[in-house]
Amino acid sequence: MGKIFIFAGRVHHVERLNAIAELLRLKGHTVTYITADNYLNIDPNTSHLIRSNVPFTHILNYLSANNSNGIASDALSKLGEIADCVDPFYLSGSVREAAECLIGFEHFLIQEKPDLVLGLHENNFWYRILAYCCSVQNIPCACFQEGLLRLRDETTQGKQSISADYSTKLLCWSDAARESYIKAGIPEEKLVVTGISHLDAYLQPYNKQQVKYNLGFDPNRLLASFLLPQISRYDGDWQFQLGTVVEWFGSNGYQLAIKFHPFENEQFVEQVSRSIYKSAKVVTTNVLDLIRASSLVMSQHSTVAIETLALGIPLVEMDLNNFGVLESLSEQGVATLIRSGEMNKLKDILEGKVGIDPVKLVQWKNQNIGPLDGHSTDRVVAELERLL
Amino acid sequence: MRTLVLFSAFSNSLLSLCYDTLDSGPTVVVDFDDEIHSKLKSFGISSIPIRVPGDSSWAKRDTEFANLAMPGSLDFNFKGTSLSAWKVLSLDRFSFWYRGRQAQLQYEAIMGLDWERGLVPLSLHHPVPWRIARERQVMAVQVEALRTRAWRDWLSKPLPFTKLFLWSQRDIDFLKNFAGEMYICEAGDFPAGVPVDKNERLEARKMLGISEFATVALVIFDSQTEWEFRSTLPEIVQAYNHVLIFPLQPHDRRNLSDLGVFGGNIRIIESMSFEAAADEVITFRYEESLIRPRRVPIRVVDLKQRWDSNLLNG
Repeated sequence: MGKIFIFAGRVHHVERLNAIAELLRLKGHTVTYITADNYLNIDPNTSHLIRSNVPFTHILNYLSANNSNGIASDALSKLGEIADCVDPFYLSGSVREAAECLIGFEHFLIQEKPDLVLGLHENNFWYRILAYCCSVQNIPCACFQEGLLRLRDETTQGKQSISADYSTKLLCWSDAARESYIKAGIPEEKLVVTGISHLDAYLQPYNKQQVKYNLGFDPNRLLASFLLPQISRYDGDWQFQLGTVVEWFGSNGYQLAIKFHPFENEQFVEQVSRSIYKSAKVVTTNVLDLIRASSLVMSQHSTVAIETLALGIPLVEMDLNNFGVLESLSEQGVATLIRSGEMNKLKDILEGKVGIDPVKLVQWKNQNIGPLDGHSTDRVVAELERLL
Repeated sequence: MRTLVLFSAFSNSLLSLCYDTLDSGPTVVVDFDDEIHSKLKSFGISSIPIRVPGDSSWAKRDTEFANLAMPGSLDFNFKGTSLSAWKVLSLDRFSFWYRGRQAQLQYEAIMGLDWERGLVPLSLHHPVPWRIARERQVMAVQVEALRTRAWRDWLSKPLPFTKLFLWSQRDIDFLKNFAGEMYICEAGDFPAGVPVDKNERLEARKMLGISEFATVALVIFDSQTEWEFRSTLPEIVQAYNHVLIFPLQPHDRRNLSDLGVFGGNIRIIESMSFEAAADEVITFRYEESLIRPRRVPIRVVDLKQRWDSNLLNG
């Protein structure tokens, strides 16, 4: 049986990977989370693990002495032009954090001698360092598809091409994702299509009214959710669009839930919440539960859009400024686009009077979301066991 | 000689030197922020507001960032490794804080003004003062605590400023290998704490219902030292009759509550005014802004010296 560690520096890492951890444990493996500080630690890095009552360790347990400043000062002296555009405070802190991770992960691997290491994706700060340290010590490590693969991210920043530099395997959602990664230069032998494992539990039959009730909504009234991407990346004027949506729902008698991206500032979310509480409810609940409770989801170019389609809920792309939505799913025929003056379309979708061509939707899902049979976790675990 | 005073941050020390500059010759005062602008106005200073548009297109911003930092100027490996710095630092760190076109336009606006000598805040919280100091004669005024790990790390090469106005000899000592001319100016933003007297101590304890003879520690919780806090708390709880915990910021309060630390002899307090009731304040990293205002003895428990506390306190 294997000794496996999973990196979980943020809440969503555990949310996405816990089903895999549990299945691995059921099969007799020892699975422990490892976490690390997140610079200022504004977001919790251990409390979610403590609350979940899962075994975990912290990278700082392995940092034997203050031996990270040599690496940090060397890197800081070489930063060059980026120092003209980023506050020195953040440069300094990030570089030291990286130096601590480099030493901490190296010591952790030497001390714990894991058989396998997992991380959510290699484009995150910590797991890339951990995967690098694994590659140096010949320890297999695997990661997952980060989320929706946007062509623009690849074109502007080459994000997909650096998704598996050090990982032994990259487990991706679908054939289309696999093709994108290959096109971006990821070696074919690293890629395995497993489906979206964190959706498995949500693909089982469920009682929609019960889920609505559990989330604090009236089970007998229709609910729509507006799941915003990071507002700094919203296509169009998010405040105008949110205001329009809140007003429309307020005057049409449907329930509205609003959820901001987890990276938004907590105080900002509370402020918005206070300003619209009469007509809508701003929630911080698990997004997949919220999608299942909804009869319609409004969003834009976000992983939640894919999750909505995967869970069989109608998706609307909001474009009330006629700005255009990045890599629109409406253009691919699997979502409905709502532009200026078209808010009343929502009514027909909510009440099931209009919808997407089901044949087209199934074809699209097969190609882009991958298998939705509820067995992705099994396929992931089978693949991981091959690495042990 | 015309002097530019840049208020990229507000501080009383900078304000004081700004008045001196205004009295001594032609001066142009600028700011980047409406709040600072209003504050300056309330002190009778009319500053030029430099306001520049943000990035209009995310695709453009991402492309510019990629040119600058992927790998751009980050095309080197971490010391002793073959791990590229940009692959770790760019996407999931620096891109969050990249000021993009805005920083460039602010820089251009300042360089387009007529001035020969500059006066700026000595701060890690804006890149533009550093950039202009590399190109013109610029002096800097201390506006924040210097004896911090962030500052210590940043001091990998000489500071670009021609003169520094600092709050104390201790600050001069800290920068002695990295700066030329240094002078002490009034530390208007940073008064040292006045020791607690016996009556105040008794009064504070009375308010908390703590006996005069009990041993009391006040622990400052800042989330950055969460690991040190968790590792040390059981020992602290054993050693004292009462442990008061003060979360430094609103997010610290939330994180502390999430950690579920309460009950027994632990009490979460809302204000540092209860410091008067403590025999000792405990913190987990040396940071002058936490240390200097203290009114009772303070102990820094930097378990692995990862915050360089001994060095900073030296």
